[in-house]
Amino acid sequence: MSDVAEHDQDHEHPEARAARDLTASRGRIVFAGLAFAVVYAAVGMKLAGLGMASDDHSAALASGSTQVSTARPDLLDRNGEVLATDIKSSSLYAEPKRIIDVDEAIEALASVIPEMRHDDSVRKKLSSKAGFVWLKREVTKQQRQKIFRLGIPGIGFMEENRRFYPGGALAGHVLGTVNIDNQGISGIEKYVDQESGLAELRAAGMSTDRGLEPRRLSLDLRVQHVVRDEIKDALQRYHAVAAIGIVLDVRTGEVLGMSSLPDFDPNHAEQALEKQNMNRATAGVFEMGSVFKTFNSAWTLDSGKVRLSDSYDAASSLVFGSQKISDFHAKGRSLTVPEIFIYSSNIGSARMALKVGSEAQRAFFEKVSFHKKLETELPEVAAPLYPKRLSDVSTATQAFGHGISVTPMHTAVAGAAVVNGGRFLNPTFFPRSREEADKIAVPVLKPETSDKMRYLFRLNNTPGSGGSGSKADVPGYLVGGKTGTAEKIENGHYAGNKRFNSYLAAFPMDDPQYLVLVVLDEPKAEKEVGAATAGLNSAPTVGAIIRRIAPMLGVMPRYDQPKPIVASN
Amino acid sequence: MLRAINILLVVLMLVGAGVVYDLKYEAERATAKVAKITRKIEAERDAMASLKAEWSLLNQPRRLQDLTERYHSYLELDPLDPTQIGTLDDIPFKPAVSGESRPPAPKGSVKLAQPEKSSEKNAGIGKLLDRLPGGHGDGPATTGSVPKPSAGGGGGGAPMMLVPKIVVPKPAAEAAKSNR
Repeated sequence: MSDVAEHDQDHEHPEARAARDLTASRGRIVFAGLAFAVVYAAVGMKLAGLGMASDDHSAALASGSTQVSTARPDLLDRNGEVLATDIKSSSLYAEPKRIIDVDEAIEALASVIPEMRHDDSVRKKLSSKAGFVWLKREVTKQQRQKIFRLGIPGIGFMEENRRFYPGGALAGHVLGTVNIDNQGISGIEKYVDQESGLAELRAAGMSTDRGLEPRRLSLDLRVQHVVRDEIKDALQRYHAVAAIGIVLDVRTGEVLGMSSLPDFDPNHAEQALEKQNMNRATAGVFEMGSVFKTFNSAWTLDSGKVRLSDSYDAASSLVFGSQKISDFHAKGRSLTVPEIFIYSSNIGSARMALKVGSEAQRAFFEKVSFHKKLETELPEVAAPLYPKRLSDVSTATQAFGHGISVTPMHTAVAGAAVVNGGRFLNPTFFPRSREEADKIAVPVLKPETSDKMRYLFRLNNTPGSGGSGSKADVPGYLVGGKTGTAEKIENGHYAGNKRFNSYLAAFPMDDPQYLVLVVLDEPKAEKEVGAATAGLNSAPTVGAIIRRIAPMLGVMPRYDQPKPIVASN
Repeated sequence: MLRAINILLVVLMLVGAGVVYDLKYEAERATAKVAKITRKIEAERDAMASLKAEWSLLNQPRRLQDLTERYHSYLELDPLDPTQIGTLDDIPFKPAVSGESRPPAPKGSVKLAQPEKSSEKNAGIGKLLDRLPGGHGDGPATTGSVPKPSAGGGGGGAPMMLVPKIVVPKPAAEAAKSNR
């Protein structure tokens, strides 16, 4: 048997044996391969599962960070002082899914923020299935530190930007406000968003955090403060309803200071919604009254049909049907053009305007933007109201600033054009160099006319000339200006006891650099003075502003200038 | 021969593995350090921003004005008057004459510009300096160059500006003499 077996074995072909072995080992290799594949597949699936699982947490954080208010560029004044900035604040959030024990978490949190202990909303939030909930926006640094040390799982902090205005109400109307998500909703804040495309970026779901260049404004913090301080003083002293102050650089059209009282603190944006806190300087239109005699004198003199030496009858009132134009400071004789200006004669101004004609008046008013909104960065600009039809009556009344309503800013920029050599410049709230200003300036008056107007301005302000603006004079600074005392319209009639007083001034008059406009709405007379005309309230306010801002703006006082002489007949 | 090469290669591989291991950990340490520094920079930036905000809050003209008004009796800071502004040309030259015959130097704040109406105002700063410790008496070294005002400061009550009045210093010798 054994022989047979041996024989059998011996007789098995070596190749066949190798083939049998190969088949067997191939099976084993395939088995081992499959086993490994299964193990790796299991590992891979577990990995994928882990990847999915960790996504939960980051998704929660991502949903939170879209709610975080984004960074905004700082706003600086022309000297680099901060007007608006972002400050970081921490907000406390929770991821309820990751909280192990709600009671323990609340107990721990309450040890730092005691009011959380009995707050049901906190418990409700933490017990919910939500991925992300805010527990408290803007916690203090100390609280943050303490909660951090407690190390509660599922509780964390997120850094948020909050807009902060160190000056408070100082420049509220210029800067505007932002909403809770740090988006500009009014003023320069809104303009900055639109201009830089921040609003679109945010709408597309992208938000930037760093690398926002601070924006420099043309505003001067110190000038802004002086303007606000002085008009606030005037508002209280004369019991006015509202007060407006504007300081312009007449060579560039830059706004150095603009304040409208009552105003609001942009740190409390809700105050901006109150109606009495509106920005009257650019978004309110008013009949400016006698300051318009400035423009009336300018365009009539510019036409060449009226000369400084001409005189007009101001003794008799001007009658148009049922309407009668008479003078407030009636002189009862004919007046020369400079006298019409300094005594603020309505009749004389109307006669000057009628002599040159309605068409020329309309053309000039169009050139100085009195018929359209001002082109400036501030979104809050109002359109003027003016008579659409040309008539002698409207020409006569517009000559002394009635029957046309413009914003105080309109008045200021037109005033700047009158004194700066007749070049009209739209106002800007961002720095503008002289060269840039020269490029965009629109000539509206001849330079000679501007010279004559400067003479009239200075004459009106010189003490002893009888001019209405002598109370605005500051020795050394050659102030020149024009008063305006307009009666306010009430129920369709001009109310004699409610006035709208303004004073438009520029200095130094031989080479005007800055313009100051102060407007007081319904000022009352001081007890000892007895009258409430612009020469007694707006003019001294302008004088006080110039006295303080001129040294800041580097205007040297000079005392060697000759006094202008009254050209009287 | 072959064996020697193999040993060499194995050693090289081990060394290589060691170096890579070390590099990897070094890179990790560096990354952690970078992250830490980045966080620090971030924190510093935020601190800078809030300090800047605080600085501008403390430097608000409104606040400074209130402070000068409140401490007016001590600081004696008055609003700048246009007549107090001048250039170097407005300052008179030192008189050439020497000794006793020299005319007395002006006392108090000097009005550089003289408009038609001149109302005398005295400098508050001299008084202030006198109140500083060690600033009394004859010592010409510290306050000697600042003339003492003749009478109490009589500035106007207009709003403030933080500009000190211009005081033209007397020559030290002269001041020492007048103080004695």
